[in-house]
Amino acid sequence: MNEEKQAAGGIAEKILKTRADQLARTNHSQKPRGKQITVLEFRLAHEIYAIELTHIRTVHPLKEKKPTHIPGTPGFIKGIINLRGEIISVVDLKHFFNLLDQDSGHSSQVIILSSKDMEFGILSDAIHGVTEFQTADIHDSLPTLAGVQLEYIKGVTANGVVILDDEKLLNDKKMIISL
Amino acid sequence: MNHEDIQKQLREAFKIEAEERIASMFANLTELEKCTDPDNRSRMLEIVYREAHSLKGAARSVNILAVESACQEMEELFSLLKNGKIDFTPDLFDTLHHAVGMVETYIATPDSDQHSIKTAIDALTGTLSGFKDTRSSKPQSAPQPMNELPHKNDEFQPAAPTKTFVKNLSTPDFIRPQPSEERPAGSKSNTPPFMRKPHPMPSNRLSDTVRISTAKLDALLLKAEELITVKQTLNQHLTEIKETLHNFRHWKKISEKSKKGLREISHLAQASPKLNRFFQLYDFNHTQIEETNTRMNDLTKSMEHSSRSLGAMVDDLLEEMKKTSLLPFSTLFSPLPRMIRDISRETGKEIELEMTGGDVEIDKRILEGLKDPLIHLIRNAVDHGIESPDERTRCKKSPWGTIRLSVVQPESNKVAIELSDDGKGIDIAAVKNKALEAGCISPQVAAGLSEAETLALIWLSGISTSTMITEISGRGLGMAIVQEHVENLNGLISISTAPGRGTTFKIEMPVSLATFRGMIVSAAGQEFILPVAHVEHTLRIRPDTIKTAGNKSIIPINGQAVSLVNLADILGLPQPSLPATQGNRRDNATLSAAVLGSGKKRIACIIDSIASEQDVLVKNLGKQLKRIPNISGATILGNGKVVPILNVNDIIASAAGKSLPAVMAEAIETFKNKVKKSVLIVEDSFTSRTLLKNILEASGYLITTAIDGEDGYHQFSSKSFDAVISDVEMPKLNGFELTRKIREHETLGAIPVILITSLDSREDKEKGMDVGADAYIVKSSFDQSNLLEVLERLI
Repeated sequence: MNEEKQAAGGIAEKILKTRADQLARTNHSQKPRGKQITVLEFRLAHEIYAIELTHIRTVHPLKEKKPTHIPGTPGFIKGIINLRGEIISVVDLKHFFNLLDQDSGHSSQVIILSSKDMEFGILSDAIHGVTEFQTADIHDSLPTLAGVQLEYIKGVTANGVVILDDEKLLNDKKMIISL
Repeated sequence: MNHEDIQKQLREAFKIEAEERIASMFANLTELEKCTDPDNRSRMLEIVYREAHSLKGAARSVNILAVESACQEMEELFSLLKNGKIDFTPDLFDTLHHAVGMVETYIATPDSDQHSIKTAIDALTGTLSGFKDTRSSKPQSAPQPMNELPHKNDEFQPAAPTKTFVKNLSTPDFIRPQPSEERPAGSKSNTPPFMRKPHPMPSNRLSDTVRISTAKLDALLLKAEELITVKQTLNQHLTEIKETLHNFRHWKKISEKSKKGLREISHLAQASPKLNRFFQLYDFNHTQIEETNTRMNDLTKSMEHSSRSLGAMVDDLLEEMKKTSLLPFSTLFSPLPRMIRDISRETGKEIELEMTGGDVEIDKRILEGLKDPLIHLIRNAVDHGIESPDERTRCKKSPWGTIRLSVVQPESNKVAIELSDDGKGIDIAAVKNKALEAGCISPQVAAGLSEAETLALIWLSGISTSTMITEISGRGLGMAIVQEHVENLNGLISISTAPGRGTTFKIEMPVSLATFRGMIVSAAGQEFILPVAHVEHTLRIRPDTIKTAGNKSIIPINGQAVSLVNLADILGLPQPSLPATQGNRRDNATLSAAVLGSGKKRIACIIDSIASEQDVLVKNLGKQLKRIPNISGATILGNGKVVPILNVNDIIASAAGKSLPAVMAEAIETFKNKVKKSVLIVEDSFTSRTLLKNILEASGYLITTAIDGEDGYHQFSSKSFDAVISDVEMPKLNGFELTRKIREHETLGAIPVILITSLDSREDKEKGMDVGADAYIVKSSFDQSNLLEVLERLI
């Protein structure tokens, strides 16, 4: 199983690693200020989000196979996908965050978030790559963000990237579907 | 499997359990000794108390009396400690530690060498008992048993201090001289040397079994199961390759034809060098096509071969893997006689337990899951079913009651368990009254309930227990939980009772948990899997047979009214109109439905269509989707598609109160006037014929069958059909000849003809086309949707 994961996730990881390395190099010249976090940036509707790499298991392309809808689940559960023989549920954050603009159908990638007790994928419209941020550069909140989202957000960077709170998403009771 | 084997197996299981419990007791005792915080103390005390209790129970079930009585004493001591009746003293801890160690040694010792330790353990039991008797006063007897350890190996002294525990010994084995090297030299220490040291195991006994953690075994099983998907994928690819090959052959044919044409103008090439080059190029191309064709043929053949052997290997591997997790029912049976004896003694009843089918094997996980429900049912039977001897005599029954537990395997993948007693049966009126009292049903509902329906109330929680609470069964599980346990394991449970003659429970379980036969159906355009075990049959419903009763839709099935629901509706899928009108078969005059059964409940469920049946590997829905109504899991098909598996129990429950919505009722009306297409099936094999007939009828075709080519032609010319489906190899008139004859028919010759054959040869396919068949389907690649699709296209 591990080999399988590595093999399939290998390409994505390789790209991410190269990017991370490049970014790490450029950052090298700058003086590090405070803590640094490494995040994966992705686009969701018209906003750029980022999520720390800590809990990202892999990034899985959706290709032509849409997630299989599971009747009876809340709207933010997009369905289930086959991740190399394993079933993983996929969450549509656009729906979960009540983003008004919900043009679906363009989602191309699933970012698999995983912790000991929880695992799900989140849909993304496009993956932008791996970046590093100084925690000092992350602002606490942005008043323009909708209320429902705030609890799932760690902060916003100067150039408007919304850093999602991966722990909160993974531990949120609302995410567990037990009907 | 004989009795000895069972005992051996049980003891092995007991050893594993005991090891865990002893480890926990050691750890907690040590902590307890160090700890001063009263809260923590009571928490740990509770743990050791429970461990001692459980170990006692386990020891009793394998009849290791020495351990049982030692644990009994420890349990009582812990209980006294808990209640503050006695105090913690170092002596007490020493003795407890010692006792646990002794139990450990005893269990780890081969049976033949156990006498020495048995005596020691019995001595300790006495000491433990001493602590209890002396209560908070310092037990003067504490060190005494330690002293006893050494001297009991010299000779047993039936003196006063040991007397208390002699009664626990079933056999006076210990009186025999003990092998001296096993025993410690006389020691006043509280921890005799042999207590902590593992008992020397005879080195010549190489075990032919190994202990593997179930987690590892399960992981292995899952891996093996995963191979099914690989196998299916490979078959899918093979089918695709064959299709490509088919197209390629067509290309080759065209090339051959044009080559013939070109030959006629080949003399022109001599005049023009450019044209000559073209001819050369063309020749080269044609040779390449031929060579590639041959190569592809060979490759396909070898791939077919590999696929077959891989498939067989995967099946074998999975079969073997599954066997590793199969256990015989005897492991479940063996503690039962003792249990029955104990309960019957408690209740003053005389009961005989008859058990058959102990050698039937079933998945370990299922067996474990069955244990509690079965024990509960047996306790119920003893407690409520069987009458007292006096009462039985009054009823002119034999004074002793009989409980029969039989296990049979009616099908290779199914196990049927029947538990019956010859007691007084269940008082149906009392059940109804209790249900009314408990507020589970309204008086109006109660009045309309049939006997069977009333009996089914017993499964509701809050009823069974309150009707029957007693010392024995009151503390067990409710019947609701029994049912839940069984159904969670994909089993079915049903009950029948006859007043004065007894009660019978029937439980049907799959042999293995992992795979089952699944039927791929679709609803609102989405595919789902129905477990075949829960599908009684599939049928086509003529809309005019649908009746409405109250707000329910009902159809008659075998003379019984069964409520009819729409699967898409139950699942909450948007469905603007009737399912079948959405599909391609607009001409269908009937609706597809599956009759689902769980226990005695059954419903008919309208579905869009039925695609095929296959082995399904259940996967859970991942960590996020803990429980979804109506969906029990998902599976991955050979083509990588993820399909949800339906939970029939849920669906039947959801169906209650649902009926066909008005929009469907309307659609049904407009639907009634359509005409069925009729198809003639010519097939000499009875099985194939029936299969085809069922598939097509389920899809709404009107079917006529013929048993060979001649019969087929006769039928064909005497009636009007929309299509003919024929086998190729048949007596009298084969499929090719039949097709040719049909084509020669003056008026009906244009009818679509589909040939179905096991001959997968190019020549035959071409021959089929030559005689004028519209389609040629090879049986090996045959799946229902393929045929239905072809048929739809042609008609």
